[in-house]
Order: sequence, then C-alpha cells, then structure tokens
Amino acid sequence: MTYEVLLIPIVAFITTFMILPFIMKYMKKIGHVGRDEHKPDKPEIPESGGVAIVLGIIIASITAILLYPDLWKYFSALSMSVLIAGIIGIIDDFKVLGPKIKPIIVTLAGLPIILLGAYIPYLRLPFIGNARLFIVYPLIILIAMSLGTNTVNMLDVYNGAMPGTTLIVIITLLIISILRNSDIGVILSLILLGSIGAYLYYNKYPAKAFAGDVGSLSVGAGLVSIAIMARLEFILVVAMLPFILNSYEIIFSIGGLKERRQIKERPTIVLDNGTIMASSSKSAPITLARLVLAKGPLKENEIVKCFIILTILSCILAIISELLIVGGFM
Amino acid sequence: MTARSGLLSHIIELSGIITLTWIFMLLTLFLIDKIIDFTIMIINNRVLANVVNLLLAGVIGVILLKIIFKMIENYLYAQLKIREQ
Repeated sequence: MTYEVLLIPIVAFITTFMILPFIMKYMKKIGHVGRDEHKPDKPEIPESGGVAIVLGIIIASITAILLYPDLWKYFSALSMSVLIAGIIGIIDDFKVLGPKIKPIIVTLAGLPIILLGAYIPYLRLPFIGNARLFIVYPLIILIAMSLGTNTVNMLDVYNGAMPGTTLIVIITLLIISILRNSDIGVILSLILLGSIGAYLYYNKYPAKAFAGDVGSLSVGAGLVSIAIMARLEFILVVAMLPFILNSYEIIFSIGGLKERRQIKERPTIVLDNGTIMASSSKSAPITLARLVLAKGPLKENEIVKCFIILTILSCILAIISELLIVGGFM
Repeated sequence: MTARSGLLSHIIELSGIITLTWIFMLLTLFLIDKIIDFTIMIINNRVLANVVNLLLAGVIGVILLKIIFKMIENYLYAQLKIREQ
C-alpha cells in the first residue's frame, strides 16, 4: 500500500463536503427540518444530512475498488451495508418506523457481508484467543448490525456528538489496523474517516445540519462492517463502551424499546440561560448526558466535550485490549 | 471547588465507571475461558459443549450487565440527591 491510499479519504471528504449544502437546501425547501431542542430559541435545522455521508462512503468505496481491485468484496460489502442502513434510516426519517421494527429491519445491513463472505468466523478475544464460531457467526453479524446502528442512533442527540465521538473510534480502528498491518482495516477506516470528518464540519456546535436516522444508522453500519471485516469486533465494543452503556441504560430505564416520542419524561431540561440540566425524575430515562449533568448544568458544547473525553478513554482501553489479545494472553 | 475542577472530578468518576466496566468484561472473558476448558473436559460432544458455553457466556453477560446497570443507577441518583441538597 502506497500514498495513493490517501486519495480515498480525500474523495470521501470532498464528496460529503460538497453534497451536504445541496441536501440541506433541499431539506429546508421541502420542510424536512428538526427543532434544535437544546437551544433556548429552538432553531429549525435541516434533517437527513446523513445522505451526504452515505454518498461519500459509496463514492470512496468505488475509488477504493478502482485502486485495489483485489479487495473489491470488502469495499462492496461496506458500501452496500451502509446503503441498506441509509435507506432504512431515510424511511424512518420520513415515515417513523416502530421502535421494535427498526432494530429488526436494520439487521438486513449485515447481509452483504454474509453473502459476499467478507468475514472470518473467529472472534478475537482476550484470554480466549480465536473463538471458532462457524455456525453462529453470521447470526452475530446480524445482531451486531442491529445493536451497533441503534447505539450510534441513540447518541445522536447533541450537536457534534455523533460525528465527534465516532471519528475518535474510527481513528482508533485505523491505528490498530496500521499496527496489525491490516490493509482492509486501514482502507475501510479511511473511507469512514473522510466522510464523517466532512459531516462534522456542518454538525459541530452550533449545528447547521442534522444527520437524521439516515446518518446515524449508516455510520453505525459502517463501524460494525469495519469491525467484522477487519476482525476488530472486541476492539469496537470497548471503544464504543460509553455509547453502549448509554443505549443499554436508556433501554433498561424505560423498560424496553420505545420511540423517542413515546417517552414522556425527558432526561434533560434546557434552562433559560441556555445551559442544560439533568432531570431528577426517577421515571426519566438514564442517559449518558444525564450522568454527565448529574453534578450541575452545562452548556451543550461542554456536554459533547465530556462525551469526547470519555470516548478517548474508552479508545485507550481498546488499544490496551488489542495489546492483551496479541500479547500472549491468548 | 470551582465549576471547572468540579467537572474534571466528575469526568474522572465517569471514567472510573467505564474502566470498571472494561475490567468486568475482561474478568468475564477470563471466567468464560475457564468454563470452556471445564465444559470441554466434562462434555464429550464438541457441538453440545459449544452450545453450553454460549449459553453460559450469555447468562454471565446478562448478570454483568445487571450489575453495571445497578451501579450506574445508584451513582446517578446519589449525585442528583447531593445536587438537590
């Protein structure tokens, strides 16, 4: 692999960066906007900006196929998984899918990886080593796709939170792939890095665009695809630990899968001075933001900074986990 | 204590929860590794041993998640109680 590999994230970045303004304009024109609930004046922000992320990943995957034709099935599997998750996301953005149906339908995003055989049915785990799971592994791919996409979706609440934190996770996957000499891991991570990096520019505080479910589900599908194809499953779980705890706490505290609109009590309250405070109600969902705000109110960008610090910590733990896997604990 | 140092100590506490969860995960894997050795030793059928291992791993995972959930829930409500006072 030579420096030409850098062309891939550049293509992903430029595609997403150039397309997103047109999507924002179109969404505004058709009235597909969402209220930024964490601002005192609640401005209207164009939704479904994640379409640009999906397009960026697809165009970059095509570039990767042209540069590295031998690895075509991995890039095809990534782009198809992201596309399927994106289609489900856009349907959900316009016509809300049920909270129980969405996690089931989104498992379809795992099918391209299974059908193209772009996986090795061994889980790399600390202490256990290579866990052979010939029969169960395809099922694990489908479940992981459902959990991963919804985990990212549940974190996409504050300006810059989803792209900011996932970008750190992707950089971690990239570092570990470089250390492992995994060409597949490096290229797949670079594809997502470019696209999400461009989206962060528009979503950072104060946001000009929202990803919508099309964005969060496709980013989740992209992350899970990289983890499976580059054999970074356990590493991704550790790197995403704050997000996983967030989604797990939400589901358990509200007593199952529920649509955002069905939850009566909000976990946080926006104060008149623009800061956000944790709700003290026991019936409000337990979220990562509520934990961060437990000691007192913070500004929205401060909450996101806390998320980023926690993600950096979990990514350091992910790198230590990788060292445990390769360092004789197998 | 300033707001900034208060926030920093809070982030350190949250980092502790994440690190503790990670240590729990590693301990679980260590435990599963030992269980795998044991089940393979007592069950001659490899497929059946794998099924038993997966079920046990699932049970241990659920117990672990419940412990972590309770820990986070208790932490949150203790913090909110301090804030209210």
